[in-house]
Amino acid sequence: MAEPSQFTPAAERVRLATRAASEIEALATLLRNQTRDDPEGAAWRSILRRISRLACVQLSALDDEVDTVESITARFDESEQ
Amino acid sequence: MAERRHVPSDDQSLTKGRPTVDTASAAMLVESLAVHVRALREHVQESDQVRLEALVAGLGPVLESVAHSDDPADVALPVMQARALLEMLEDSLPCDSSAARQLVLQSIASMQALLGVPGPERAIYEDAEEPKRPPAVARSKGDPRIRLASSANYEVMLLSDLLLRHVAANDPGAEIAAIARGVLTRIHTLSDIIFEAVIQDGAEREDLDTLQRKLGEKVR
Repeated sequence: MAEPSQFTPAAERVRLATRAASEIEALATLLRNQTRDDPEGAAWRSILRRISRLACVQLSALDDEVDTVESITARFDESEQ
Repeated sequence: MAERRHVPSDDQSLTKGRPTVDTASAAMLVESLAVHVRALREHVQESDQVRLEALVAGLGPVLESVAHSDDPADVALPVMQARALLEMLEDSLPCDSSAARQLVLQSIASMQALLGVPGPERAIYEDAEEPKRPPAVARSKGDPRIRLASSANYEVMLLSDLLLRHVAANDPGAEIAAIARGVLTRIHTLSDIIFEAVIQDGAEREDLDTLQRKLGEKVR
């Protein structure tokens, strides 16, 4: 018999979102590495780096145990520069 | 820490049919695992980190052998090697409940699934220690953390769309374009999952089963 989920629905939503954000971060990094040798890929890499950082901002925002809202906001603003 | 799981050498699943591993997905999984293992740096000593990265580096050629073997008999040895490497990797992970460790366990489970490891032997994500964390509280749109996640998510969606359009307009036939389309489409889907999971509220948002399915998780 399947075990019932160990999370409340709200916590399960946060877990799913966290997992999705982690995958975004990994995929953006992967694609950035794939275009490393492409001399015309600088713009690409810059956007992919930004996506990676935004995914990290999401991960921090979804985890109450790490970082304050202020520090996450600072990182978010930093990634816009 | 996860219980040690031995793979019996007479395991029939090693030779019963060829695992469906293609070169591209094997490379992508190894790269993804490498990214997650690198993120463990802050949680382990340098010598342990070297060992973990060496194990991941060893997986690349082994999985390539699996992908290139046409004969099911030839595939048994590299499959066994890959399973053993994954098992060693799992046993070498730090004993904590960090998000970095969870991600490595997730990647290991994906590879084990690809290699046909029977379900109960896998380092299943659900088995990981995440339940020990205090459950998150229900949040509303007014929560500053959700507002931040929402803004970041919106940008991720815009940027992935922008790159997708760029790929379609410039090098649609190139190999890298094909990879990029796949990756960016998945990023867009993941972004949508985040929106539906924690940003959207009310009756319009997707139910949990649908979100789990979209993520590729087994729906209980």
